[in-house]
Amino acid sequence: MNQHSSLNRTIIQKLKTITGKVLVSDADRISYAYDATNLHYLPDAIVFPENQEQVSNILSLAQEAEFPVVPRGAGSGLTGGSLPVKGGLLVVLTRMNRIISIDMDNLVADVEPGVVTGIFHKRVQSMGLFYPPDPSSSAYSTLGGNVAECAGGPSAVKYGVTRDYVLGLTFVIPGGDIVQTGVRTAKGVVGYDLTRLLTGSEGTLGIITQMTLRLLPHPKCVQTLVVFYASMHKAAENVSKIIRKGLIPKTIEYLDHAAMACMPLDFPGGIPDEAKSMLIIEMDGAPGQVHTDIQDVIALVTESQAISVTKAENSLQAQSIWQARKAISPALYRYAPDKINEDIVVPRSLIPDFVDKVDELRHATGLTMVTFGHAGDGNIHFTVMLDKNDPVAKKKADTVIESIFDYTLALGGTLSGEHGIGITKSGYLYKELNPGEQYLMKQIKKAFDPKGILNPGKIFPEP
Amino acid sequence: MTKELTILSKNYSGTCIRCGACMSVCPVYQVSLEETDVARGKMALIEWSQSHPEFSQSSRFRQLISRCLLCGACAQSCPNQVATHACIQQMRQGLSKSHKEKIMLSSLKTLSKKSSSSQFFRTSGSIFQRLMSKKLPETSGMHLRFPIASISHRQFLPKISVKSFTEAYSIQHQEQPSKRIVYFTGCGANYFFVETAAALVKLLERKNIHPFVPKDQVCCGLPFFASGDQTNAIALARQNIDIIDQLSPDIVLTTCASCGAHIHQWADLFKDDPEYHCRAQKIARCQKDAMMFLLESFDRNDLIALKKSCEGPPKENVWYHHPCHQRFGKTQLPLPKKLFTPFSHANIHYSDSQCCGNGGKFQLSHFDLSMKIFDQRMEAFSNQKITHVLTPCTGCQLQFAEGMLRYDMDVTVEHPLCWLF
Repeated sequence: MNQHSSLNRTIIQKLKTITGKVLVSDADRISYAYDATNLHYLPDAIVFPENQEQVSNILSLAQEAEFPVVPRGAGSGLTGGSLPVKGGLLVVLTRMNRIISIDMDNLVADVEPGVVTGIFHKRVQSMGLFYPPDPSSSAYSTLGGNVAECAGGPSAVKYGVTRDYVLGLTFVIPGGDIVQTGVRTAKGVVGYDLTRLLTGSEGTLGIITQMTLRLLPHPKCVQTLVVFYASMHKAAENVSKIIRKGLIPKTIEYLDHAAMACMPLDFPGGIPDEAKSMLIIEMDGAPGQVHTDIQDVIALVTESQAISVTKAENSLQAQSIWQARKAISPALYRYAPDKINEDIVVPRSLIPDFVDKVDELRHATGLTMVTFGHAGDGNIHFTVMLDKNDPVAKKKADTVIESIFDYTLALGGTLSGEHGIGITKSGYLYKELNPGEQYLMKQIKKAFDPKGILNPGKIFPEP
Repeated sequence: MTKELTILSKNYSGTCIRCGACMSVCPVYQVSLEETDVARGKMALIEWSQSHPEFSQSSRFRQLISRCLLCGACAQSCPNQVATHACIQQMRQGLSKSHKEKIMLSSLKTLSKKSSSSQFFRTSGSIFQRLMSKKLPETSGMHLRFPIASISHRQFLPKISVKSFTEAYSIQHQEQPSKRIVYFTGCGANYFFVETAAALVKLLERKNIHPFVPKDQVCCGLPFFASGDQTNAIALARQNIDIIDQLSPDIVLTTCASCGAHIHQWADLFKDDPEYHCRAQKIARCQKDAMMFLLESFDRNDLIALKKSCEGPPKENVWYHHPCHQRFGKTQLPLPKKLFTPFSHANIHYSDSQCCGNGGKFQLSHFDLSMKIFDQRMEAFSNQKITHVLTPCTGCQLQFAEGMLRYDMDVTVEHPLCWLF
């Protein structure tokens, strides 16, 4: 195993005095070498800080001794944001998992970064409140990771993404300084918006130690519809049709036939044989309004040749629909051992064009391609399943990804809606960001982290 | 179209892709918050150990692989259908060869050779038998639960019945029973909680059912299987299969969730033995948890007739703990709520989302960790005045009995059948 550690014995000793426990064994390093990309980079050591002061001491030591520091939440990211690509120290924040306060009057919560998203959802819901960002991994992802990657989820069409719920942050920058940004109020324009800058910065600017999150009252009523179509184009077309009608669903999820095949067989209501795509549509709000909205949606989709429309009878059924939806991404491995997954976004009205393009590429290359995702906001998870050891398939896939990215940008879209750039997309960054933009971003990075010790090797491709 | 895709000739599922879904359900991870404890970390370590034999023989590997309850929650939640708990059990098999963490049972190995008889279990000499006042046969996996070393940590030691249930039970067969019912007691109801077995037999009498309770039945073998000891797990399964199969049962009743679940694993032990594999499968198909049998054969009036004071304002606060072995895997069962609805004198709190932390031998080898999991479980408990804890699993029953002592709570821990009768 790698003996060329950037952390010598003295540093390990110092880390021990800061956090008490430092993991350095091979077994521990192997268990912290991956994230949900299933890529593998060994850290030299792992620590579990329990408070902000410890994080500050770690970053002060790291600045002084110049070793890489990589923050990590649950390690459930899909672009490698928490992978220690240059080795160094992995700072796992799962033990900073206190929900400090939930302020019912001002609808804000103060939380530590290690709080599991799903646990937070349940807690606020038990108080009649609602925290909308809901990535597929919410049962195990952490709020800190969600903020660092600006996680999204299915309800962005109505409720936006993590960014829209972060009011304020406390974070530590390399050197150990503790910075507090943002507000506890709905409004605030004092100086540059560092809170927004940190949100989605993928752990490259600072380590978040506390977050002030905005909450909403929990919608009184939610209804879930499952609609099947005999063509992918039709389903995609329906997405913008619904919104043009003035109906803003909480969610419109789109799934093509390959994605549907990854759902559990006991999917509530079953899947019609001739179905080639489906939408999951969810309306929420006041009961009366939801009821009429749902009727309008049912009328609209029926008019548009949907082959079947089913309404979830109760919350349990709705829950199993969502469980089936959330199971798709990991279950895609039934097709092939490797996955290339891109979470591109295109303007909603152009989803049909995108879906057609994918179909065209699928036929041209013979590769297994899967499209599904948060169609309501134009965020489509485009996935190629392949065996990377097959050089022909690999080459084809690389070409496909290139053309998908080019097409996405030509439609006025963006390369990543919610997964971030990390290491898996940095090679394509140049396609979307012009040199001037990149230069500014790199200058910002330098202002926060002049020695480049914090999460090195991410976002910007190595020269 | 969809059908075509689901039955592709090549299926790559079954490989861990490190998505992390297991983190949300693993009782051990939720206490330790360390990746080495969760299934995806263990899968990474197992993969590493395959190419690094020195690591696979290290004490660290052994220790990490032992930190798992084998509850099956991870496999259940795995979107890629990785049989994580089976992989861990397989690793333990390899370990048990080189490291005799086995506690006893050299004589058990002769079981497969020797024709079995109750005499066999009476062989004395084991220190554990002395400890257990010679009442618990050597073959019982319960020895793995109560070796001397762990007693210092543990406050609760179950009383061993003077006579095992199977010894005491006398058969009163009907002439021509409409269904042939065999009761597989498991060690818990046979030696420690004989009242459970007695309650079942009395309940069945109400329906004029007299089950076969074979005297030669032995431990289901789960404790051995969980420690990776295939030899003993197979020997025990073989004897049980012989004994149960010759009775050609229609139904095999169990009162312990873990035994019930392990009966379904017997067939896996005989992958190279088609005859036993087939017989094991047959028995697994007949296995039925006693609570489910009751649900099907007792109506509301039958149930009301069981308890004298079943009406009036709630006097009892009853906590129903749903064991992991009925929450995951092949033996998933719904909560038996219908059995309790007639009893308005009791408030029943159903709990089917958390592990008690027992995990059989796990509680013994990782007592502190096991108790931490129990402590998390108790958080939901704390502000309720509970009078009874009901759980249809020997392991869970032992864990709660220990836990109640630690929390200094005066609570009756018993099998739901005992509460009903």
